[in-house]
Amino acid sequence: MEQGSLYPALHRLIKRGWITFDEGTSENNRRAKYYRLTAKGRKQLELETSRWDKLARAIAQILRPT
Amino acid sequence: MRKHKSLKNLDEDIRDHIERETDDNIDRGMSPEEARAAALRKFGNVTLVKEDTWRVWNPVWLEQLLQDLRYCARTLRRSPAFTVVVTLTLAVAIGMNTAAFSIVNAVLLKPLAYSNPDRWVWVANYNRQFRNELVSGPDFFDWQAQAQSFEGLAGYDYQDSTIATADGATEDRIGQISNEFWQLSGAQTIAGRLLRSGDEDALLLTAGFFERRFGSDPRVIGSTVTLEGRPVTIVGVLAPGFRFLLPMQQSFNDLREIEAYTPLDITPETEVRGGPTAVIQVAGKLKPGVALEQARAEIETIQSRVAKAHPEVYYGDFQVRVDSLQEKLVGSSRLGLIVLSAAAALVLLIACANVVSLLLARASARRREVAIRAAAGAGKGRVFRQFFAEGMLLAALGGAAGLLVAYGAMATILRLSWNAVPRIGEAVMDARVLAFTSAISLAVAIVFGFAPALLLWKTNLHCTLKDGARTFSASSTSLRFRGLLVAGELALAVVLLVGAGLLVKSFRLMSSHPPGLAPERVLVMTVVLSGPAYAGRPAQGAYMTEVLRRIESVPGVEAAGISNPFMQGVAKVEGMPAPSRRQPPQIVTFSMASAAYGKAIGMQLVKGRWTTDGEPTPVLVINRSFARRIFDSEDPLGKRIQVPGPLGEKEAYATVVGIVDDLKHSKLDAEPQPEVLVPYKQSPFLRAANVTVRVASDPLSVAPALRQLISEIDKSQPVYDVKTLEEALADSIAPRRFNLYLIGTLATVALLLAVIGVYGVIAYSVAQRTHEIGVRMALGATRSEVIGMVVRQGLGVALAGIGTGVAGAYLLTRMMESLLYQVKPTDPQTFAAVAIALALTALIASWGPALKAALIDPVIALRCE
Repeated sequence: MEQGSLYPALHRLIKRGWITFDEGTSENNRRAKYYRLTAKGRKQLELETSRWDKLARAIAQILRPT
Repeated sequence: MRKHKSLKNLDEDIRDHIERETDDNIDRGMSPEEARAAALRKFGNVTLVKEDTWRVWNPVWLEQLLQDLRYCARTLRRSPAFTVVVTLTLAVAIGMNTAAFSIVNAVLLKPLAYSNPDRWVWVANYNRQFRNELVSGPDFFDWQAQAQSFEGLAGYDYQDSTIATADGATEDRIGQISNEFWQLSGAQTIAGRLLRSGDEDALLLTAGFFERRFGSDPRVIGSTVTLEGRPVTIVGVLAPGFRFLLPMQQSFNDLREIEAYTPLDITPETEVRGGPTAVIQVAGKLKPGVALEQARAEIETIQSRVAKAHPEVYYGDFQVRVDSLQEKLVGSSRLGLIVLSAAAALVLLIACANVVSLLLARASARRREVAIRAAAGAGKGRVFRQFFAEGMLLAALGGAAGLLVAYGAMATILRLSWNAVPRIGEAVMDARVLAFTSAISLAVAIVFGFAPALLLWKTNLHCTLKDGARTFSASSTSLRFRGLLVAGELALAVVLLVGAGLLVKSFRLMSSHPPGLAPERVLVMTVVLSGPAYAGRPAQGAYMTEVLRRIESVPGVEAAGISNPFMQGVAKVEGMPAPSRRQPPQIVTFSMASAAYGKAIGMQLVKGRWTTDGEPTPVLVINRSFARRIFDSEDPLGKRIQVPGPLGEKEAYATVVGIVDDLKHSKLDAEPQPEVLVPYKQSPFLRAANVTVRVASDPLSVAPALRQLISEIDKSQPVYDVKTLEEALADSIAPRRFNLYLIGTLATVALLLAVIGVYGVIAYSVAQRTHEIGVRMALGATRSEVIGMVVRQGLGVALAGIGTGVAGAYLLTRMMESLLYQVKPTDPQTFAAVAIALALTALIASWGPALKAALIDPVIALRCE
């Protein structure tokens, strides 16, 4: 995975309103952007996580039949 | 394009990102160059990342569309022949549709140029017996006084009148119309004023007449000119383009335009039932909210009251008619225009089929290109958008060129057929026409985009790329589809050609004339005597005799005669019972004619003798229709028919001395009518005459001299409407000629396109099958067998198309029945001729590619691939 693909991904998240960012400076005094989840983003994350868990459980069940 | 705030620092963000990574790498012990290179490697394509991020925020379709269009423009430039063929095809098709629509728009769709055009109606008494619609003066004044449905009613009439000024006299068509009309119509003037109530000897000029006749000299407003011998004052000039369009039957001499208007010179006092009354036509403007039926019912009530109060005037045969003025004006042109539009639409379909066929051929050829682009990462959608872009570009080119074609076509049509359809002069390329053109161009673009996209939708990337140059199986689908397209195209062409063929046949039947008529050697012109000097019958007779004497003395003149229909009415034959109510009487035209008229116009004597110019007793000649319809099997010679006497004198009986053949000498598409020819010296009226001169050479070379000669008799009496009989006859069927020319042109274009279509498909198929044909020939197929194979393929497609077309035409042509003359809409001759002609053309079109196929050298063909 190239690091550059991070940017379109971040911007897509911003556009959907799932994350937002603040401008600031880093510990070694450089310009920096701090991205954080929004409330909407957190909800989406929970949704996606639960979906993932379901899928993972299903796979696990198939792989390890009781 | 707007820039989202998050994008503002993207460049910096990325630079920072890479710098930090570089720093980290240096910390890990790399040299600075190495560190930077590694960071860049790890980051990936910076430009692509920027673009991708940018696209998150900005919709890309517009950008891509522009890109696609640029790309298409490049590919089209690379194949100029294709581009030119497609543009020309579309230009002709779109241009013709645009021209047809602008005529339809002007004639049928645009409201009349009067205020509240939808409230204008035409009111008449239809006479069941005479089958005509007219209004008598007293009826008109009763309606005007009593009817509540109308904001106003205007009576009108027109005639050709002499206008004399210091520069000379001319004969022009003058409209007489009630002064009420001008207020109601909302007409505007560019100089002076409109006619208003109380005006009597006043003249209102049209803008065109003001320019032509008076050189646009503003000083003529308020000046006095002589109209038919009486002084009238010019009060104003109408705004350009404003004209009162008279809804009247277009006939031989109704093609002239009205140049100026005077008040209608009848009053309730002069119009008394029982006495001589004027016959006029009536237009009216309904009050807002009043329906046609309401107005009709009201007029009917008034008429029945009148009938009760005046039992001496017979109203039993009359029926009140109230029609929309616009409908009355253009209704008879509707069918012709609809057929014309349909023909234009067919041409557009055929043109589209041709272009789609070409596009499909291109698409098959571009299969690999498409596959490669798809493989290189362009989404399928993106690739198909490309085709749409190409379709749009082609349609735009075609549409733009089509506007030019339409412009030229309209100019030609208006020049050749200005009088063929009422209101056609109002045809302009307005916003509505432009919108129409844009709409059909857009439709065409969508078709063009879809066709190749559908063909390639199922393209299997893998196969296409693996298959390499040999894409035979895939393109055979496209070829089958193209075959279908061409067959459809031929079917449409058959429909159009059959329609045109029927019109041509009607036209030929209409214009056919007996041998010896030779209308191209006959000159016709009109004189109408005006002024108090010619009020009496003797002065009129002397003038006419002098006209004949002078013309006959001109060298090169073979025969000269005068004639003029002076009355239509019921013929009373001595000893025959008066026509009963049950059997309507025959309406007969009474004409005066000089002795040499028959010879001059080319009329054949069937029986008996001609009249001379010096008959001692009242005699006359009847035509064949008269003999058949009135005397049936009886011998008419020696029978006596009543002829009206001059005003104030009693009618007298005249003996039939001869029968002449029916001659269509005025209106070609009318059935011959019973006619009586009275020697001119015995005619009660001689105010007007059509002069007919048969000459040995070109009549138009003699025309100026004849004109001069006649006008020298009396300079105040102009001669006008000078043309050859041939022209006059052609003018009498101007609306039909208009239809014929336009639909004929469309049919020719359709035929041409269909031939190109057949040729294109067959040639392409031969090119595709080069290898196969090579194999066949290597295995022993002879050249003639190859030719046969290709031609069979072409004919197969053609016959399928022609068969479908004949069936379609059989169903459709009956709709144009009323446009035909003595031809059935299913005329087998025309159908057969069209089918054979198209099959032959298809044969010829596939012959070229067939020969090319036969000349394939198997060795080269096989080595090629």
